[in-house]
Amino acid sequence: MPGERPITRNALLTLGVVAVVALLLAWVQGAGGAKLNDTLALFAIWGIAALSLNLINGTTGILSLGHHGFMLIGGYVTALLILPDSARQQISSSARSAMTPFTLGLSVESWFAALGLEALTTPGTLWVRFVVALFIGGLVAMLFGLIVGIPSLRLKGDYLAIVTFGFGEIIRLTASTSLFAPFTNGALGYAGVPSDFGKSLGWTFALLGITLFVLTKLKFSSHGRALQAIREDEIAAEAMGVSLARHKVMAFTISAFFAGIAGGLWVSYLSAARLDFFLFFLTFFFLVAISVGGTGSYTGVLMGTAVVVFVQQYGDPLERTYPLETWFAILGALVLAAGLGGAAFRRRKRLRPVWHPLTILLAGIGAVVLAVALLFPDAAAFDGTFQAFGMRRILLAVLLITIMALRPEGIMSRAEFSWAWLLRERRAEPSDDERAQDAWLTNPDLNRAGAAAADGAAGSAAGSAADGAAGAADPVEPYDYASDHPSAQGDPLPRALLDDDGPGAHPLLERGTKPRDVQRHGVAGDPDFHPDAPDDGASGDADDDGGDAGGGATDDGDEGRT
Amino acid sequence: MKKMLALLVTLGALLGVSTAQEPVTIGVNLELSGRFATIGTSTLQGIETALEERATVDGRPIELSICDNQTTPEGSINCAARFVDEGVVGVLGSISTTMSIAAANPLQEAGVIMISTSSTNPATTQIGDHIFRMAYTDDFQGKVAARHAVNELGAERAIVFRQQDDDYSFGLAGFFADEFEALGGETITLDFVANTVDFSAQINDARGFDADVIYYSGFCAEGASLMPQLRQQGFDQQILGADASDDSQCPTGGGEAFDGYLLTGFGGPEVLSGDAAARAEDFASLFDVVFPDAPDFNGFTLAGADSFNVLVQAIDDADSTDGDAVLEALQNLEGYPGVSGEITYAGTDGTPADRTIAFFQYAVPGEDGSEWSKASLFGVGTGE
Repeated sequence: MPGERPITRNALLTLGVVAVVALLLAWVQGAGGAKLNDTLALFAIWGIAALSLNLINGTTGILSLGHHGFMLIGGYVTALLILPDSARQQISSSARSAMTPFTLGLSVESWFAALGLEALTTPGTLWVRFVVALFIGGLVAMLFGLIVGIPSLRLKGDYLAIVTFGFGEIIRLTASTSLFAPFTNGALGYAGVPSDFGKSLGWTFALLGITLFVLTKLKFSSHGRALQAIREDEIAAEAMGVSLARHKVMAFTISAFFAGIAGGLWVSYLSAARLDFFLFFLTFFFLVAISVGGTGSYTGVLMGTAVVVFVQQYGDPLERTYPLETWFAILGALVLAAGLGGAAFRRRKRLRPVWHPLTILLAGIGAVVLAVALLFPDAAAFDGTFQAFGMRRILLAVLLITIMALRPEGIMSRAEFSWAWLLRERRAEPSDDERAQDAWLTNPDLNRAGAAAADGAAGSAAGSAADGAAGAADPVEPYDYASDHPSAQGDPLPRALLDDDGPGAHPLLERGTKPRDVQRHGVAGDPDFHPDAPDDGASGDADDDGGDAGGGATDDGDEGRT
Repeated sequence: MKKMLALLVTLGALLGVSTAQEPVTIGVNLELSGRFATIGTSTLQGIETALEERATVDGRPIELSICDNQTTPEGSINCAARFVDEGVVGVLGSISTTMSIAAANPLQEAGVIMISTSSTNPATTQIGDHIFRMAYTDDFQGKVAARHAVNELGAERAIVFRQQDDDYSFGLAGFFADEFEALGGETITLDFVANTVDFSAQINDARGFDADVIYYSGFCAEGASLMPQLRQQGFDQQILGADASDDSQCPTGGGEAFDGYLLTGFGGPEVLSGDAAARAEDFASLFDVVFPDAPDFNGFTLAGADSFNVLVQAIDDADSTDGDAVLEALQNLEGYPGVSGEITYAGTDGTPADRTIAFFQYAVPGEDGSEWSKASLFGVGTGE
């Protein structure tokens, strides 16, 4: 029923947001100050790199540590191809330069001139040359992605991580050897790369938008689903006909292409190409962004990148000199917040007691330190000041620990942002899971009791059962949570544990059984077998579901009714 | 009446009457955390000591806006952008060429003066007319070391260790080797990369080459591992280093392997003569008062102090904080009596014309029972 989906509305909303963002960026570029402008440009560039790394790490589930190598290739190629003549002359006149006339002549401008496209060699059309150079940089990085991707086919997990890390370092180190020095100018690198693009919010955010669009489209395409299948279980994916080799190499090459684009923007942002612009730290920051935002979620990765970039760039007030009582007040407030947050967390998770001794201890210590620092700022213990550089990295580390402790799957987990989620919409049509369940519940071969009830209630065709929200209209009795509730009072487990989001939110918990059982027993052709048949006993079913107490409890309740 | 008063005050502010006590802000972009943190701290202490010495200019207090670039290029750009927003008169720093080049472009575009304290790569000052440096360039330092090795130490064969992925080390090693060979010597260059801890491969390569002298153009992070390994493997030749070894990390990290280690660096009071020596002496004693616990008083301290001094002098000469006026004053600066010798920018591309480089020698353990000490031997001027 695609017609019911508000595609037009979503597209309009997206367009509106894009327009608002574009206006905001235009304003920042005009009047927002250099620091905000540079920070946003850095966010966009690192965002492209982190998104592309997420294609390998998040969607395909391969831990890759060599992303800075792909960025280096894209960056150096782009820089070499658009380097202005004045910078080339400086390099050729330098005593230590390793570049040859041939490599110094590699420039998009001279190619255009040779092709007779004089109009494209003017300063006004630098952007055309930059786009061409950027694209070529991406393609060369893609080629290296292919080279890294092929040996990775035989490897998994930690071994593959080591290989990719090795490749990243090999790329960086061979770039400085005499073999590649004619192309990279060795350790000296290039200075004078035009910075008009890496610092332009229009260019960086347009490319970020393209990257986000392509990668999310890819994720939900059949190729993307194959990549996700590889992440979940390689053997199962292969058994289902997914070509491991093709898809892994595809992930590496596409990821390397966008990493190359990010590298090209990065050298433009830094207006130079040098080997120590491409240290392993870059990959490390992208990994942090991916973990914080949610492995596999592109919108989440952007949030993670924002956290990393803004803490790094706007954390400098932390490194000023403050009196000790201020530091203790901040420390006390943080510890108090940790204690209160712990209690709130336990309350939300319905853990008893809410006020665990540890949370009381934390909140108490925090409150005492805060109170002392606020009430007696002149105490002898607070004599003096404290200041340390590197505090923002500490803050970043603390943030990372907090997020990982509270939400190990990251801010967004694997979900993507969607308008339906933002507007708190419920789906009008059943999900795949629900369809499968309905099919099982109303199939007389599998579920005699349920199918009989369905036959008696209405003549509707099997499988067209209504959605989970409108449970009252459902022909199968146990669907209705409200009428199910009284019989559940004798349950060994408190029902309160299950109704976090109210009726209708968890169809799997309420429908009494799960299609997984059917698959497991694989007895579609055997009319006598039924996992939930009364003579089979509820206990047997509960044993099957050992890990899922909630499902087991609901089963018991349903059993009582049939 | 109140309205009149407010109007007068506003008018006064517009005319610049009430700005007499408004501070002059100078940006400081240094590597205060990360790989070069020790060098950055030395430089910052030099700047702060110079600020103690000269706290006002044209009757206005001087204020430092200190920014830590974390030894990262994006951090350096972030600092530059912050200074552009703050509207500082000029920027001091940064130390390394990589961070200096990253900050130099946006500052040049915004028309803000930048004085890199110790970037030695020629490319830094070629970025634009607003970019200056306090140090000499690599070719001078490499040549001085090579001449000393050949003429004074009588060396004919040299092993050169260079950090292949660092332009400072790479360039310096090249200049040393070129000069050494021009003087009739023979060299072999061995490469390593940042954060190397095990140098057995390079040492094996060095074994076949019967050298009289070893030249090390890298930083202390790696040098502190390399020197003890060389000594253990029986290399007892004289080792020569460059100003990157002018860092307490070397003798404290490498221990007795640094006993007798020679290095070139910014000249201090011992090698200067006349007024310059007296000024440097005064500065050194003030430094001891301001930072009694500082581990280092070295060339980076002096470079930091003098970059501050010349900028303040230019503001003083220009009698304003207007960027163009200060720039003109700085470009015409001639024979400024700095704590590291006389400084002249007139007629140069931003590299001071006359600098004195000095030879130092480490003693581990130090003479008076201290952990280590550094003796200043003699100085060589750029003109010589």
